[in-house]
This record gives sequence, structure tokens and C-alpha cells, in this order.
Amino acid sequence: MAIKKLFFLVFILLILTATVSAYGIREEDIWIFQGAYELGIEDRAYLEGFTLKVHEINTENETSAILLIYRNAVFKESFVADAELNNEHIYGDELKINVVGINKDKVSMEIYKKKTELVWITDIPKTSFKIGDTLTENNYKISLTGINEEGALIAVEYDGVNFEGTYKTGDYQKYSEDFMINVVYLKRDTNEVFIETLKPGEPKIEIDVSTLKDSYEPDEYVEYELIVTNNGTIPLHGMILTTECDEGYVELSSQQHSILEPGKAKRFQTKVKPEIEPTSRNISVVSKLQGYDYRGNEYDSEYTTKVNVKSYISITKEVYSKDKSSQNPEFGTNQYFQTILTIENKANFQTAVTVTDELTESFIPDDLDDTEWTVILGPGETKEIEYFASPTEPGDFTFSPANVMWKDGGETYTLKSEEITQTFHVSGSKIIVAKELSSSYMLVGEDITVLIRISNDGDKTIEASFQESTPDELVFVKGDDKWHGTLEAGDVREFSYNVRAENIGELYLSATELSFTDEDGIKGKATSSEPFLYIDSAFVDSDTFPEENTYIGEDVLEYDYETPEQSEITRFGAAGFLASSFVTLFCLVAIVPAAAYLYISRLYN
Amino acid sequence: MEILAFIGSAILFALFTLVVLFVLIKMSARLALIILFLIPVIPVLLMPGIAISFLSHRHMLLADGLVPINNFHILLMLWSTLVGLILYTEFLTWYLRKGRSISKGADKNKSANPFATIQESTSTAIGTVKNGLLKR
Repeated sequence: MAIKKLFFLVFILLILTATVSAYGIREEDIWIFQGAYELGIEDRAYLEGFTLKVHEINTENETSAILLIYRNAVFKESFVADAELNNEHIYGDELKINVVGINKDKVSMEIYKKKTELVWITDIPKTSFKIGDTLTENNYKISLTGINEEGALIAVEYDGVNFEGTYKTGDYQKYSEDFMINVVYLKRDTNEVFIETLKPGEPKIEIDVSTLKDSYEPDEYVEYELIVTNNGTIPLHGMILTTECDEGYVELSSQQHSILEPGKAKRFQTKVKPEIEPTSRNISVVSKLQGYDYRGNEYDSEYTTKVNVKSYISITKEVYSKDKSSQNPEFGTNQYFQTILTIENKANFQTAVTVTDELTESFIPDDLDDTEWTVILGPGETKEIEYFASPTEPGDFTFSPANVMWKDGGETYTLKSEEITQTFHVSGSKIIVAKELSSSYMLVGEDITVLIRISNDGDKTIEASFQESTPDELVFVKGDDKWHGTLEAGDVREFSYNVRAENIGELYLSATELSFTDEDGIKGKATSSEPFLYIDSAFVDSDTFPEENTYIGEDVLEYDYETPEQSEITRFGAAGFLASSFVTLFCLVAIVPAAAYLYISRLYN
Repeated sequence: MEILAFIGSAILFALFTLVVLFVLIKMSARLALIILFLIPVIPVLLMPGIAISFLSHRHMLLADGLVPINNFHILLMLWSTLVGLILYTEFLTWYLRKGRSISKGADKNKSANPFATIQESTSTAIGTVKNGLLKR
């Protein structure tokens, strides 16, 4: 059993060793560019494990600078460098500083670090070659010319130059900084060679943001994380992130990071203090990232973050529904509303604002003439306005947002509070009584219909009654001129009765008064309007026709009625008119023959 | 729809005219006169709504809308025409009958018969009127 375990361990180790070996050719022990720096006196460049500091800049005779090297924050050595012959300094075969230029307060330099790093990636994966096989790519051609005792004879033509060599299993050859071949396996029994080609990898920068809020208050920092990911194949070095914002102050305008391995991400904290503005707006924060590969090739990426910053004045509106405690509540409604308006000035100066809160028509505010207030807000001050309003009728209500208006720099600005999506229910009785006449014009002796429409628009069942009275000019003919009964919530009842005109005159019919008691025992009254009626004599005189021939009460209802033009002529009137027409025509036509008859009769008698 | 109303009205008025003429020719002028009056009046008394709306139905507006033409106007026109027809028929009947009765008496006294022929009677009548006018 122990032997089995030992074999298994050896097997695992072999696998791991093989992997390391395979990975080995892809790595190189090279000076890796860590970044280009411009450092003033006492400025530091932080590298992985090392810190470089400019101690002194001497511009008197020959321009030079004294630089200090720290390793893990421990001083190691100092050296003098200039931008000419003495511009390169190597510390312990680990760190290379190449001074590019020195002026009176800045030293420009490039820093390299020696490191074993992944450089090569597979270009063409392991491919089988037999003698005479050729692989041609853009700028190279690989041919297997033969296999002998020493190994495989491989001819390579790269950029027009021919190379030839004998390779065994595991041999590799670098032809340039951009091209390498690796003989993975030489299979002698089949005279087959497996070759792969390699090329240098590239870093690839991708930038994203996280922890970004939808909007920021003007007095808070716009703070978010910028995530830089290297989606390339080799590490990215000497990363410098520069952040700019035209509409605010960037706290960390420049940030550095030494290395970003492929597939890894680095989070940079971005902090911007936005400018105070009267309007809510979007500001742009531009982040530029610069980085280098191991050879010093530059890679850039830019990311613009749009951030919403609110106005320095803010208003919030809160509405709370409360139950009335009274047994006989005002307006017959059981609820009232408490409204709290909170206005805040986040600027560092005083501002006078006008707050307006529009109420729906059926609401009456308590102890207020109107719902408009002028408020002086000091720097950073918050004020609250609280008021109560009672609905005059039941139903479902929504509240519109409150407005705040102020002036800044001669301009007027307005801001609305957020929409209140909640619908508030007000319970209570709402009875509407409408009274209408089929015509507001009638002749003496004619009948007219009085229509009474009672609708229970509240949410309570009521016990109601009414009794109509007829004025002296009219007499009741038939119909429902009184009622006592129950009306469910939402129900509508219609009653009509006919009256006949007795005397001419102009009058307003008395309003219908409905007395009701709701299911909670609360009593109330609802009254209709007073419709106008014009009673004319039976002889129609067109000049006396009123222009408005129909009276419609508060609530418009569709109701068919005869127009006065149609009702003015009765059957006897029409027949009489026809008879008189006939007689007149007869008399006119008969004049001539009658005259002739009389004449002839007289002549011959 | 308007044209249908007009055709319907025209048919009704034509029937009305034919009935009156038939009664006038085949039966009696007085009966025709009574029918002429009663046919429109009875519906007005029995069903005033329909009858009045029929009579007040407007077919057209003449002279740029100045002169409306309702069924009532057509009825009046028909009435005046038919009344004239009936009256003149009756008058001529009477006149001719009178002439015949005088003609029978002229066998005794020829000068007393002015209606020997139509031509003669016409010239005599014109002459009588002329004389009468001249006398005045």
C-alpha cells in the first residue's frame, strides 16, 4: 500500500515538474520596464519591494541628482546620476534606473526591474511534422528536412534569413524577440517531430467602474472604484492612472501600480469633490490609464464616468393619512392628511426659496390661506414645513409633488420633490343630487318632466329621503315627487315627475333637499341646484323665446326632451292652420268664378 | 336619404291628386273638395307627430336658402291647383247647364238663346262684357 502511495506521489511530482519545464521556456529573466517617472525632490516611486526617492537635485555645475534606494522601506544605498554618461544605475542586479533627464526640480527616469516573467505565448500549437513537411506563416517558414541520430534537422526561414539546426526533444530556439520555436517531441519510430511556435504576449487593458451610485449629493464626494483588468497574455507594468474632472476637484489625480498580471484586476479608488451648482447635472470624470509591457511598449486606455450630481437645494414631500377622531367629522370624510415638506440647502451660502405645494380641489388646508411659503435657508440648513388638509369628499387621491423655486445669479431655478406614487383612500359619504327639467320653456297647459338624480359617490350605504314641493305656477300631474329608501355605495337612482303649467311666469324651482343617514349613523344633507323655468302663454310669440331653452344643473346629464319648436303646435293647432289655409286658398281661387257666376246670373235672370 | 324622402313625398302627393281627380271626374266635385280638405287634415288630427313632421319636412332651399320648400308648401300648391280645378269645373258645369236651359227656351224665342254655338256664345259674352264696361 505504501509503495502504491509512493508511486502515486512520484507520478504527481513528475506531472508538476513537466508543467514547470513547459512553462520555463515561456519565461525570461529580463529587465522589465516598471514605468517612467517624473519625481521632484523628496518624491518617491513605489515599486514592488523597492522605493526610489529623489534626495537632491544639483544644477550648479553639472546637472545631477542624488537618488536613494530603499528595499522594503529600509535604506540601502544612494547614488548620483546625471542625464548623460552616468545615467544608468543598477542595484544588485535587480533594479535598473535609467535617468532620462534632469531639470531644476524634476528628475525624469525609467525604472526596470529584473524578473523572471512570462513573455512567450503559443502562436501555433504543437504540430506534427514529417520529413519534407513545411509550415508557412506570415514571416516565417519551418521545414523538417530530415531526422538523424543527433536529432531532427529543421530549417527555418525568418524574415528572409535562413537558419538550420538539429534539435532534440525539448530543444527550443529564439530567432528574434518576436519568434521562437519549441521542439516538443521527436518520435523516432514514426520519424515524426512535434513543433510549436511562440510569440511575445501582449497586455490588454479593460476598465470598468463599480460602487457608482445613481446620483450624488452636492456636498458629498463622488467616490467609486475603477477596476482595471488585464485581459492580455502578459503582465502590464508601470501603470499610471490619471483622473480629470472639469466640474469638480479630483482628490487623487494620479495613482500608480507596478504590475498587473494577466487575468488579474486592480481596483483604484476615485474621489471627486463636485462643484456646487443650482441644477442637477451629469459630470464627466475622465480616467486615463497608461501602462507598459516588459519591453517598454506603451498601452493606453481611457474611461469616462458620467456621474449625476444633485442640485444644492433639495425638497422632499411626505404625506400621512390620519383618521378623524370626531363622531361627526367635518365634510363627512373620515380622514385628514398631514404633509411634511423638508427643504435643505447644501450650499455654503444663504438662499431664499419659495415653496409651493398644490392641493387637489377637494382639499382644504387647516388654518392656511394658501399653500405657498417663503423660506430663508442658511448654509447647510434644513427646514420643515408641516400642514394639515381635510378632504371635502371621499374617494381615492394622489398627491402631486411640491415645488421649490429660488434665484441664483439672476436665474430662477425650480425643483420638484419626488413623485408620491401612493394612492390614499378617504372614506365617507358623498351624495350628489341633480335636478333637471326636460325643458326650461313651456306654455301654459303643457306638461314638463322634472328629473331628480341621486348618486351615492361615497363608500357608505345611506338611508335617504326627499319630498318635493310644487310652486304656485305649476300643478303636480304624476310621478315620484317623494322617496324614502336605501342607496348603496356607488348606486344611482333617478326619479321623475310631471308638472303642468297653470300661470305664466319666470321662476326657479325649489332645490331638492335630500336628508340621509349613513351606516355609521352620521346624518347629512345634500341639495340640488334650482332649475330655471319660463312659462309662456299659449300664443307663441317668437320674440319671447328665451335663448337658452334648456336648463342643465351642476352635473350634466343627457336627457331627451322635446324642443319648444316641436311642442308649440298641437294637433288642433295644426289642423286649424291647415283648415284656415285651405279656406283662404279656396276663397282666393273662388273670387274669379264667383264674380263670373254672379255676373252671368244677374245678366240672364 | 334626402332623395328617398323626396320620392316618397312625391308619390304620396301624386296619389292624393289622383284620388281627388278620380272623385272629381267620376263622382262629384263637392265630394272631391271635401276629400281634398280631409285627406291632409285627418292624419294631422289622428297622428299629429308623424303628420306634422311630414308636412314640415324640408326638401330644398331656393334662392340661396331664402325660400325653403317643405311638404307643407307643396300641399298648399296642390290645394290651390286642385281647388281651382274643382271650382272652375263646377263653374263651367253650371255655366254650360245654364246655357242648355236657355237654349231650350230659345226654340220659342231665338233671340233669347245666346248659346246656339260656342263661337256665338263666346262672341256674345265678350260683346256683353264690352258693352257693360263701355256703359260704365
